[in-house]
Amino acid sequence: MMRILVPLLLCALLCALLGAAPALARNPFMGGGGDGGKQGTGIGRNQGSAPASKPDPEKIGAGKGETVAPVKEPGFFRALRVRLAPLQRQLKERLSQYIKVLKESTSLGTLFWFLLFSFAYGVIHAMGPGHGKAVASFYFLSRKGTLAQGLLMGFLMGFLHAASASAVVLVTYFVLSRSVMARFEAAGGVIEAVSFLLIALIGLVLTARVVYALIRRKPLHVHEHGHENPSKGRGFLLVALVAGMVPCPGAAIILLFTLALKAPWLGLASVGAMALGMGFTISATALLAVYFRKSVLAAALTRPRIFGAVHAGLALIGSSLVFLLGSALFLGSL
Amino acid sequence: MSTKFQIVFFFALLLVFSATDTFAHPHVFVAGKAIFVFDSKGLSGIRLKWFFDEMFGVQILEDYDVDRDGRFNSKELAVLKDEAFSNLKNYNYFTHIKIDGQAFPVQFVRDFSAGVEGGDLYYTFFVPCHVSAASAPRTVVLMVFDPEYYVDFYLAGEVVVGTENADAYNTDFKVEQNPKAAFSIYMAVPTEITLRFSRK
Repeated sequence: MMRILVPLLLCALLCALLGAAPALARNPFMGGGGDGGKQGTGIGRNQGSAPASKPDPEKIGAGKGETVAPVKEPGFFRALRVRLAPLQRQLKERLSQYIKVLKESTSLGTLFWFLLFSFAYGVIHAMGPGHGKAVASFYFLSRKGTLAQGLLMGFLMGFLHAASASAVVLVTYFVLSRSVMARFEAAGGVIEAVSFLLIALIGLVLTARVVYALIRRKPLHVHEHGHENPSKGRGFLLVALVAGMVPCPGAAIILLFTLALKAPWLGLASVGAMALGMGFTISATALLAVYFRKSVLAAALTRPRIFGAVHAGLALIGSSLVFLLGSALFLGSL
Repeated sequence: MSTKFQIVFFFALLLVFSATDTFAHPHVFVAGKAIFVFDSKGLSGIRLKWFFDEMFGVQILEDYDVDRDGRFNSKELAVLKDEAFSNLKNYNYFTHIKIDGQAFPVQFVRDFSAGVEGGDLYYTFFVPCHVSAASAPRTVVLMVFDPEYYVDFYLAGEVVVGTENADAYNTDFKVEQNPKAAFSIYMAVPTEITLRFSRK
């Protein structure tokens, strides 16, 4: 069975690593490299259609000699994913409408829906590119985590991600007052690079510890019965801090919008709810890793001879992936 | 497979789905216009107009409409262009063109301007792209997309196409989502605008 399990595990983790790479996407209007001269090439994935929203010539204003072209849809659809872009657009439009309504008159009902939509925006936002989820799951693959630790790490990352964005936006807005978005991007790029470097360092330390323990033939927190000690220390909080310090562009966009409308409190409330939503998604990922590890070890327990190897393998793979992810992202950000 | 291994497999799958970026995640949404401009020789280029979603629009206005009059004077426009447009050169202005199946890399654009229309911020600029006309039809394919998917462009039915100064030519448009051109891991499907034209 291990012959199936180990490649599966490796494959899963490599996919996760690859998936985390586009965390580098930055606001292309303000900065960032793009792919230079390369033309967009079709990967040829046979994905379905985007939903046909009604042409809105009024908004776009079709003039003389111009037409809203009838859109020919491909004949089939099966992609929930392509539906998410319009959903997010609607969510964003809803948020800006709520902000404008709430600015005029506060009603508890509207406020409730506004915060709920902000929370949902956070949940969806965190499903997108970002290295927090990958770091959290690699970390909890390498060592035993608890429900509380997974939750704490996820929500802390979400909170810091939003708080860091708020800090950068507010400082830029009130101190420099101009070109806030461009400066946010510049600051974000620097903080991101620092975060990536620190993640790589943490990964290096984690890996070194595992290797050291293996060489010394120390059991890695394992009793004879294969029962693990809960991991000591607050290392996971450090990981959350380092991965969460990158300012969140989604939160910055909402906050800037409310600052422009002279309603910053609505922005901060929304960003708070959004942070909870992001924490929800990241925690869910971290907990998946916690229980994935648990299930692997439980399955390996039936074969005492390989249990040690599986246990060491998880520790080694998880910690070295933290290192690889951090260094890949850091090198990519230079 | 024993139950235990099924559980392992289940968690592995879920983990891959959640730790990887399976979901689309744009921050800016654009609807717009693509006007194909002709001259005496044939197609001379494409004028694009991008209307932004409200949040992005308000930010740009907040940052670059310094005198708060709801429009950009030439000084404001110069700063805006420098700080929030010129960098798109690194992305070929998100504009991907094929002439008779041959890729035409967009290196430069001209006549950049920005303003507010119907409450929405827009950018507009001209992409020079000469294609001489003949009696046999020529095909120009235009796709506007951001490969990093920070920006979501031209959803189905949200792009206006048109021609200018094309009285001497037969023109024919086809606009469709092209699943074969799905880009990036986000599986976003760009809208493909195909213009066929020939001399009358």
